[in-house]
Amino acid sequence: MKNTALLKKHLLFIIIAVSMLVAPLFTNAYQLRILISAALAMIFAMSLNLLMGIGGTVSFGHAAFYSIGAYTTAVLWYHFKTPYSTNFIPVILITGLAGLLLSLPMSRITGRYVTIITLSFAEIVNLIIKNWDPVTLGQMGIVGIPSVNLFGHVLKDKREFFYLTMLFVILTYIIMNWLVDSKLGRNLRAISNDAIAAEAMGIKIFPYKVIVFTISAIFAGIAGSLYAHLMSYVEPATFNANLSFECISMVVIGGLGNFAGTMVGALFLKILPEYLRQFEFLFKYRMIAYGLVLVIVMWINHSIPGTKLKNAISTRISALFRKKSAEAEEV
Amino acid sequence: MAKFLQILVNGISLGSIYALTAIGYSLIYSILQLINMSNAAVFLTSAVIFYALYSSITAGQVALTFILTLLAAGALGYVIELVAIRPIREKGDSNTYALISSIGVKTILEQICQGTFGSEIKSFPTLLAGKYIDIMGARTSAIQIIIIVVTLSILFVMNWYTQHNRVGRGLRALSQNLNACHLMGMPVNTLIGVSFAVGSILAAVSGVAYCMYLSSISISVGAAIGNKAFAATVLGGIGVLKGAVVGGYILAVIESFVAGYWSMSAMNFVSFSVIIIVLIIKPTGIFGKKEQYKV
Amino acid sequence: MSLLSVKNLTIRFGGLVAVDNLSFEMEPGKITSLIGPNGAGKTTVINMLTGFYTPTGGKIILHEKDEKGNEVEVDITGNSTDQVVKKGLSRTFQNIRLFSNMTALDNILVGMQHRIEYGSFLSLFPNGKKNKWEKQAREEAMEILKKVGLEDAANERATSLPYGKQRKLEIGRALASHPKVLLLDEPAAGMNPAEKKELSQFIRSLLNEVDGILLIEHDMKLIMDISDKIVVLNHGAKICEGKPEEVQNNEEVIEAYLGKKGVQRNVTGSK
Repeated sequence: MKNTALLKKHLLFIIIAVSMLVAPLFTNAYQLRILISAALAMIFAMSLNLLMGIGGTVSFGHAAFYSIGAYTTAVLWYHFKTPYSTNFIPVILITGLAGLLLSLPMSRITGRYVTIITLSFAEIVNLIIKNWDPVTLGQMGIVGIPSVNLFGHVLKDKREFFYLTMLFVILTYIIMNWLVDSKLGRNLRAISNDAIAAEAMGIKIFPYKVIVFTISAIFAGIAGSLYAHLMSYVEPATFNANLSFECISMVVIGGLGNFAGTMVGALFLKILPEYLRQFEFLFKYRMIAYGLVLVIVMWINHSIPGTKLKNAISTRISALFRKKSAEAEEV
Repeated sequence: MAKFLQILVNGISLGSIYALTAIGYSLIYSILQLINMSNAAVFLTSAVIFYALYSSITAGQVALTFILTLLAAGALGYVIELVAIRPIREKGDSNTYALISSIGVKTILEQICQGTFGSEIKSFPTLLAGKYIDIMGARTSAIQIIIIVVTLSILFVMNWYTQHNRVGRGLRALSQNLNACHLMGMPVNTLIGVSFAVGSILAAVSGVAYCMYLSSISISVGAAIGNKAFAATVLGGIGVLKGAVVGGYILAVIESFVAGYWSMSAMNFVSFSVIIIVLIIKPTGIFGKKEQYKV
Repeated sequence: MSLLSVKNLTIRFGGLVAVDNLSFEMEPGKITSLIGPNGAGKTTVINMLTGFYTPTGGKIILHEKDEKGNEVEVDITGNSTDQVVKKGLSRTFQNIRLFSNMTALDNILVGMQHRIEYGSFLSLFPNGKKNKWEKQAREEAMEILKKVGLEDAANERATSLPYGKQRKLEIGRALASHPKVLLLDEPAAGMNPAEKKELSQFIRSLLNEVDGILLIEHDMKLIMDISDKIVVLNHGAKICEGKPEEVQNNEEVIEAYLGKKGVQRNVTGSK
């Protein structure tokens, strides 16, 4: 009984995870690369969903953490030639610290100011990366980053890289679910539902903001660090505001607080542009599709896999029929 | 001294550009508590429309092109509200959703501009090119003076308008209490649409003026100025029109001085840092009223 | 011995004195009611007691017994909201403030949060301590839901519940923190007479759970029925205090509610 409930709750996740895991049997190298970038986007977007859907804070600068993760591993490789497995801990520490730093002003800041603080933070991080030439090589970026090296084993085969990424995707999903069903997750949801009532229940808001920003930043950083090794180069221009907006879109399409939905959103927004690539005109204007999807999802009801869409459609259809039958009766 | 004055003049002209766009953000925020991210894209779109008209249909006629651009921008603002904001607003959904919808609009507009205009820098018509006035050693170009004068007169008119005109009073009432206005039978939807149109027209003036100032146009102007204008709005206190103007001028003057006396690359860094510091010290911005803590 | 003493409590917002030199005592095992016309400062008093507002002057003293059974005074004036909850005050809100997107069970669990003793780090993965606390908390939360008559609605979203049940859930959430003093801000607002009658019995029964109840209410019949003591506020100052029958016949009270002319009539007769 309990197991069926559990299965039902995670059904969407299981479907996506299983089909992703078997996909490399059928894909060519190019398609595999798209799948890897979709998997990275899943980790990145799930980390933002923790902040938005559970923590109730819309971050417009989430790309900052992604770029910090990517640059940490890239810079360490460039200067010290350290492998990925060695860089992993610094990636977690530095992105976590960045998240903590961004959460500090949040103690006194609500709503609208969060937007500008997160935007400005991302802008500043990008400017530092762009101008700190001795460390980040500035505008040029760092090139020639080798593939992931796990304790001496280099993942030369992209399939290996894919499965490592999927391992992180599954881990992220599981940890997010553990978190949501715990005291931490409940209190976070309570704060985002009604901060005043949460305070009345004895929840101190500020420490929770610090925690949620830190955790969210760490997962975004992990995704970023894998990105650096996938692409084999990093440059500041990649990590612009559009990356943050794209991430928000993935979360929004999947539904706030719905992590399996976020995976659908990431998959959708990563595969759609590639699909459009065959139509030159559509590919040129593919970002319009992103924009339209955002507006339309907001119209309908903020979530595609959720029940809300089904409800919205069914009520609209039934309304249509009612209208028709009413007209018929009048005649 | 001449350098100081020169930088100050540059800062004030840039500040005028910021201030105009900032008012658009602030106006919408004061009514809907919504950060309308599409404002920056309207800035860019208007400049592109001006360029497109000027280089084809209305070649050589700056005034006519300008008026047509403003009309187009106003219509665009109204349509954005009608299509992307109103359905969400009327469902009573949280502002976050309207905000995300406005990001969608921003993305669409920017893409259309990029697709039609391309990514190269093109030259933009300017007024009285090459004419300067010497103010104690500071070379002030004619377009700078025009921008400053036009901005100040718009601000003056706006101020008078919101205080004395019926529509202006309506807008002020909306920002006090939207529901009450609705109950009083005011055409709330139309007024909100109008305020989007007004915000867009101001962004259009700002966009065209900025490109005239640079005498060039490229696809990146929207993001650069849009974010800065938004930052200026928050700096001055979002939702307060006076704050948007003052925030715009302060930010631009700071930027000019950093660029002039230190370096261009430090400019953005300093301006965004200033904003974060101000918000940490006074989260409501310079003129923002403290939010009432209602329990 | 009293349970909670409020001594010369005062708060000013700018030039406005919202609560002026208010003193009263709450007795253990009793329902103390705070009444007064709109804007008299009743909710402001609750906001000060629960740490949402910091009083400009005066003291709030909680009386407790230490291990030896000696009475000790705990000063909670100006404590933060989380300190106040830990010391045993819990409240509801005038306009229901439930965690709307969470289930009834989760609402209760949040109310219980300060008694669930595992930290944020242990939240991130399964471990013995977390499992033990979660199991125990869920069992206890179900009991609380039973007490407020919502055991069937445990997994329903808070906002999908009917109005009366939302009120009860909010009271259940406040009970979940194991308060000594329960502060109810207009629990009967928006209810019909039958619901109000049931609610007043329910509030009485809550005295088995908590040491004392502070009640704000506008419904005079309900107040007169269940209060042991009534404190009447007008313009932030106490004008009268006593048993229901004493308050009913107090001229100043009638005047505050009905104006000077109303003094001739009877308060309860005018409902």
